[in-house]
Amino acid sequence: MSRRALVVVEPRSGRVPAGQLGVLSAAARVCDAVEVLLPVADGDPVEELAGELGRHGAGTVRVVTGLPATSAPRVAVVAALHAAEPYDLVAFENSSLSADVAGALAVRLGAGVCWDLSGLDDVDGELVGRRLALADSTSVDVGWVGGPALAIFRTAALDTVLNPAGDAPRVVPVQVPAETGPDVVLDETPSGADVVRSGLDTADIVVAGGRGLGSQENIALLEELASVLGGVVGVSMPVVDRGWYPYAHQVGQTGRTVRPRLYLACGISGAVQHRVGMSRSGTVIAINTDPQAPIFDLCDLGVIGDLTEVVPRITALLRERS
Amino acid sequence: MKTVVCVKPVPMALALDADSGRLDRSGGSLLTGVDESAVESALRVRDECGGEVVVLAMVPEAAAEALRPALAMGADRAVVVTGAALEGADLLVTSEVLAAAVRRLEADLVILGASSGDGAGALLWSALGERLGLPVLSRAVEVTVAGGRLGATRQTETGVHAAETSLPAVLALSGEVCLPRYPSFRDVIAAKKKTVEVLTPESLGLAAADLGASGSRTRVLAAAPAPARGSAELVEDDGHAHERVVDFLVERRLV
Repeated sequence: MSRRALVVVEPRSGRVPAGQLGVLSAAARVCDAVEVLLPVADGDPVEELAGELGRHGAGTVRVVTGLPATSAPRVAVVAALHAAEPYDLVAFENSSLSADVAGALAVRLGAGVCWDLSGLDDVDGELVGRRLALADSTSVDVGWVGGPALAIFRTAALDTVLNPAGDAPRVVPVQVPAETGPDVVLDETPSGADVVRSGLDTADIVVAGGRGLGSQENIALLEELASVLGGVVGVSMPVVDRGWYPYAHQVGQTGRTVRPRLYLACGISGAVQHRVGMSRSGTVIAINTDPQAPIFDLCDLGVIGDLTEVVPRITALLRERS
Repeated sequence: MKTVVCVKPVPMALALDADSGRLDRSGGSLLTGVDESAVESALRVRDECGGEVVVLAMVPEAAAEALRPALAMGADRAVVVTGAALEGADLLVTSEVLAAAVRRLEADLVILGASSGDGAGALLWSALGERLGLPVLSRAVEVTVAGGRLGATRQTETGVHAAETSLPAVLALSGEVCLPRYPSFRDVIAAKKKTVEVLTPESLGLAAADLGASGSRTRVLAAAPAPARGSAELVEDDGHAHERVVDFLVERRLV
């Protein structure tokens, strides 16, 4: 059957992040015609970006220039494209922006949206989304009634599939509709850390800390261990809420989902909201003073102890042995 | 200035109903920390600008009492929309019902907490904004209301941004952004006398046939326990636990 998809990407620093290429690969696996909506800024290497999207399954790349980083113009563009020629699937990688876009699109198009997906399959001609729910204790198959199927994928949940021989995609400019509805005015010069530059999504090793850090100063202990291991620091929501570390490093339901080879959870109790962000990591090591902490139920090695003592000793021993 | 805070009491125990594959909401429910933060933010707007704070939830009637702590914190009244027709409501249905209630309440500002801990993704606020034709300011960590405008500091994957828009508007917070005030004993007693108004979809002019599972555009096809991780090796730190950790890293070829 013929199925059309639109994948909405957001390049950062002139690249399409790997997670978004994973979404494109997943869409290309179950759709015959895959288009990408590519918002670019002045100076972005459009041809290079389009080439990379083509190698991951895009047949057409629709380029839109100079969009503010807000949801209203994206909703208007996708709705106009869908009105011109309907899509069966509109797919996003999870982010603050894509959630805002997808929620509004669902209402405007009267379409169902499934989120937090870690896979997408064709089962007897129907699209079926795969997701883990309830602290990843339950795997759920979800479907859509009517179209388009709006799908938001977990960050880092999907593998990218590269087809080096893929044809160069058709590159088509897109006009933004004149009236895009009420919106916010955003100061586009952010302060603080960027999640792409934080490296969290693609990190092989994440050294994460939670409430058990006790103070902002102790984050330095994580940074030192991360640096010895060649990893990236992650934190749980309470750490960000206290202003101890930037949101770009937050792992969990309201932050990023990570899938590193090694996840070290230090002073993290393992609340549901955190577990969903890291439960699919390769090896999990937990350090916590509370032997009853739920994190000990989903680790491979658990240390009952004070992270402020154990972590510096691990760092020192690794340095000694290297 | 009328502020409506949309909250979502979540079941005390998270489990899926074996038949429907949906969250079992038959037991007791609680307000979460993110919802308390949203109520606190609304109370601060009222402290600053005057007006009224109304707490709104779409819940089974049994969960209506979960709104009482918000009244004890100082919200003026609470409204719940309830009805059997709402069971299995997805994003489209939920946003339609809440939009109808917000219109009825004639809100100047609608505040939502961060995404709830029990299922929904962070989609409700933008769906609600679209239904109401209002601008949506999401992921806010600091909020100011002045001169008919809403300003906020947003925290997103791309860093910390300043943003603003005109009122009326929909505001969504990022996490537990402020510490909820602690009600006194007298506040708790007073809250028992405050009104919890119960509305039905019909009283909001919504047709039952389009609601709940019948009006939803998504469905759960199957639910099964996910494979669990094997049992963990536990060590108590006696001053040497770091040696076991490093050996373990070596065994698994992670260093």
